[in-house]
Parts: sequence; structure tokens; C-alpha cells
Amino acid sequence: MISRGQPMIQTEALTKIFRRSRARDVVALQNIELSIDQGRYVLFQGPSGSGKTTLFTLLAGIAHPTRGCVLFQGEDLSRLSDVALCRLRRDRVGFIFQDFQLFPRLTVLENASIALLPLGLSRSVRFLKATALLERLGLEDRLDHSPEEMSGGERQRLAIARALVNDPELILADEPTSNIDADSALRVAALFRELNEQGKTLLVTGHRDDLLRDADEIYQLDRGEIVHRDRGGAG
Amino acid sequence: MNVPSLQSHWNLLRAACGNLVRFLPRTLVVLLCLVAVIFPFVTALTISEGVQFQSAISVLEGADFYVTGNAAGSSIPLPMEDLERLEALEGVARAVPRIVGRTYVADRVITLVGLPVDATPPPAVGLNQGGPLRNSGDVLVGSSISKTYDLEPGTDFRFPIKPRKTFHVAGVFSSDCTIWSSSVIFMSIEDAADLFGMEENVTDFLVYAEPDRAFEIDMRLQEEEKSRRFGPLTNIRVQSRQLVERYLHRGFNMRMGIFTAFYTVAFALAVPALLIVSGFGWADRRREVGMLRVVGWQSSEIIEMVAWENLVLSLMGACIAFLASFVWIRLLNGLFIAQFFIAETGLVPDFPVPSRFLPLPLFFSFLLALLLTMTGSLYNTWRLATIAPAEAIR
Repeated sequence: MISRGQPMIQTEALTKIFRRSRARDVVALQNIELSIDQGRYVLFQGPSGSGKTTLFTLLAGIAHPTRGCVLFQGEDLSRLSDVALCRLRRDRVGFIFQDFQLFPRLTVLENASIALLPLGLSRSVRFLKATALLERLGLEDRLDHSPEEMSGGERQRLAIARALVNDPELILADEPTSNIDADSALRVAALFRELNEQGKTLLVTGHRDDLLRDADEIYQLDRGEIVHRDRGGAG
Repeated sequence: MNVPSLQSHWNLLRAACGNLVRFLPRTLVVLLCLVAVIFPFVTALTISEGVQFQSAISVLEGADFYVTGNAAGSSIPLPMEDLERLEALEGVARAVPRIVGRTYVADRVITLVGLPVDATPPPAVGLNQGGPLRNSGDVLVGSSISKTYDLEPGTDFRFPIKPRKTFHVAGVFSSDCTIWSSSVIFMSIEDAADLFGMEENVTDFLVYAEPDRAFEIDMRLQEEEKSRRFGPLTNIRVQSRQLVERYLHRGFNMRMGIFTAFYTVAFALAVPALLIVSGFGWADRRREVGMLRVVGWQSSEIIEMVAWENLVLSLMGACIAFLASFVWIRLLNGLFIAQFFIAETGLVPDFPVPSRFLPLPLFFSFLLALLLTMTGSLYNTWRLATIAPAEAIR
């Protein structure tokens, strides 16, 4: 049971530097200090290259910081073993990529249920669980299709389904509405609102008004630093 | 510690099979390479086993001892009169004089075996057509020779080494030992002596011991061999059945060694090629492995799935190689490969090449395939599965 108000995720002096060459390092994030409570809907905004995606990959534990740390419910991710980090990503974090990152050779149903495969659930149980989610996202007639046969909006919903299949506490969505049409974007925004109402912590990047309206907090990033923090429309 | 259930292994196996279908071009290329590497190995082992088996039958059905003349370490003829001395040895059931020589029939080297008429054909062969030796000049030819040179019963022919003498095909024989039917002609010892100019001499004696007395005779013959008193002028060399068996195995080991040396060179050249094709399609896999890690798959689960892929691929590769080998031997009669194990067969053997399909070569080829595929892909997978997922999907 998630109780609102407790810190879900915190960062301390979080820094990420990409070493392009010996002569030139690219500082993607610098000394980010964050504390996001459980059940919050937080929007991150900033120009391209401001470090939003890098921040999300660090928060989700799919990249390692150069300095500083990420605390997930008080637990330092850098101190977790590889197995523990995998379990955390599998059971507690859902990540939605801007470019969807779907498996093109798998069907919609297989894509949505891929995270369940090593869990020891039978095929029918896995597919049942994924089908329920896909139905909820309006993809029930696309189960046997390939992602390549789908529109941008449908792919985004599939990416969301894959992220939600393990019922995670924290959902990170990187530009979920940037590659889809307006109707699909509205649908995604409504879904996020619904998830947040169910108690999920949502971290989203994007610029749409409806996202701004629903967010509890809004962070502005620029050149790898948080330059502004504001209460959102719901905050 | 969370131990993966049987169901999760089953799920990973199914996912692995699915991947083999999904990455079909890669699967086919790797399979092709595996078969190309394994197939000659399986075929060679199968032919080698077959030839060894047939040779072992020949030795088993042959005499207990082979007595030849010996001069400066080389075999030389023995006088026929030694037959009586041998037969007089206690425990000897029977001694049979024999003349073995080689000559050409058309373009092929044939082994001519001269035996007393009452000992021809030997028990290991059966007559297919015609009858036994009756008259001077009668011969029994192997079925393969008969077929190749159209030597039916009743046919007359001559050997180039003695063109004035006419030989008459009395019968055609076949044997469990298929090499015999392609390379042996039986005739009476008198005809053989005449053909090779060995009046009153033989190339060796076949000595058959009474039951349970082989050891005793062995000792006696060894004494004779040491004392050099056996023939009037000649030393003798005694080879027991066990010794012949040992020579046989040594000979096969040497041939197998030569083949293995060739094969090792080919294999060494094939491995880098296979490593490259195993990595074929890894650009796609790299991103997929990264995504699997993002959604929570552990490194061990990804490595297990790839190991299953390799296992299934190796099993398929070994089975296809085994089937190809079966077809190569049964339909193409061991084309090209048989000559490594059977002397003077040429590129295309004209008799049924002996073969023996045993489970062990299949198992070895499976292990070989597994070694190749695992070497090719497991390291790549391990590297991908242990870096941060964001790196893999970048």
C-alpha cells in the first residue's frame, strides 16, 4: 500500500558526465537535488539537451551516475547488486521511452508481457494479465499485430502497457506525447491522471497543457541543472 | 535467495526457440556453418568405425596365428615343407598354407589369395553365384569386382603378369567385409604359386589352435621363433590374432590422426568464420538485450535464454550434420572422405563403403557445435547483459 507523503525518490548531488573524448567531457547533469514524494505527479520541462532523459535513466536505475546518488524509498541504487537492481526495475519501476523501444519482432501481446516471462508464470497467465491491460488501453483488437503495423499513438499505448504490466509504484515517461497525434496525447494524459489517482508516482517530461494542468510539481531543467521549480495545476 | 522455477526455465527455452525463428537469417547462417564444420568429422568417424569393425570381423574370423618368413625384418616366403612341422606342433588343429600377392586387373590393384582348394572360399565369405573351385585356373571373384569388370561365372580372363595363363570365373562371392568384395580374388594355392612364380613356397601359414590351446601354441611358436630352428634356412615371424588386432588399431589410429590433422587445420580456419557469423545480427540483439534489462530481466536470465538458443542450434546442427553424413555415405558412398581410411579407393569408391553410425559421434558433434556457438555468442551476451541498460540501447 502506497502512502502519500513519504519520499519515493531522492537524489543527492546527482551528476552525469559523458566522456566523448579525452579533450571534451559533456556534463549532462550537475548536482541535481530532488525529493519526490510517493503518489506525486511531477512534470519535467526543458529544452532539448537539458538532461531530462539522462535524469530519468538515472532515476530508473538503467544508467549509473558519475557522482552523487539516487535513493529509491531511502535505498541507494548504487549500493544495490545487479540482481536487486533488476528486481527493482521489474517490480517497482515502469519506464516509457520517447521512441517507444518496442521489440519489432514480437507481437503486441508478447511485447506487453515480456517483463513477466522470467517470472515463472505460465504463458496463459502472462497473456491474460497483459491482455487485460491492453484492453484497458484500447488495444484489444491489436494483440497479434506487430508494432510496425501500428500507429504512433498505438505504439505509445503499447509502451505504456509494457511499463505497467508489473503494476509498478513509480512510472517514468519520457516525452510520452511528443511522437503521437493530439487525440492519442489526450488519451495518454487521461491515463496518467487515472494512474496518479490510483496512487502511482508519475514522473513525466513534456510540454502539453493537460500534463501541466494535472501535475503536482513542475521542474525546469536547463544545461543539466534544475533552474526552476513550480507547483503545477494540481499542486 | 529466489530460485527460478521450472516454469521460468521453460519460458526462457520457449523464448529462445522463438528467437531462432525471429532471427531466421542468422539461425540459418549459423546452422549452415555448423553443418559445414561438423559434417566431415561425423562422416570420417562413421567410415573409420565401419572399416575398423569390418577389419575386426576379418581378424576374428581368421586364423589364431600367422606364420611368415623373416629376413632382416621383412616378410619373405616360407618353404611349403614347413607345413608338416607346424601341423606336428601339439595343440595345432590345422595349418593352412597361403599365398597372398597383389596385381592389377585393369586399373585396379587386386589382392590375390591362393588357398588349398578345400579351404576355399574361407568361412567369412559366401558364394552369391556359381560354385567353388574345381579345376586349375578357377577363381572366385568379389561381387564388386564382378560387377565392375563384368566377370560373371563362366567368364575367362587373364592377368597382365601372366598373360599366357587363362583363368576362369567359377563363382562370385560377397562378404560382410565389403572391402574384400572389391579387392580380393581367391584361387587355388597351386595357381597362385604358378602366377607369382613361387613353386614350393608360400607367403604365410594360417595356424588354427585347438580350443583353449592358443596360449600354449603361442609359447611354442615363440620358442621356435627365438631358436631360429623352424625352417632349414629361414627365420620365422609369428603374429597372433591379438597382435594383428593391435596392428590394425594402430594403423587406424594413424589414418585417423592424419585425417584429424587435416580436419584441425580446416576447423581452425572455420572457427573465426563461425565467430563472425555467430555475431551476425547482434546489432539488433544489442538493443533487445538492453530493453530486456530495462524491463527487469536479470543478466543470468538473458544468458540462460541465449544458452538455450545455442543448445537448440547445436542440437539441430549436430542432427543435420548426422543426416547429411548418412546421405553422403549411403547415397554418395563416402565420396572424397572414404579415401582417407581405405587405401586405393580413389575419390569415388566403387564398393559399398563400410560405415557404422554410433551415438558417440553424434554426441561429439553436438558438443563441438555447442562449443562453437557458445564461444561465438555467450561472451557477447555476457558483456551486453552486464553493462548498464542505457548503454546497450543507446
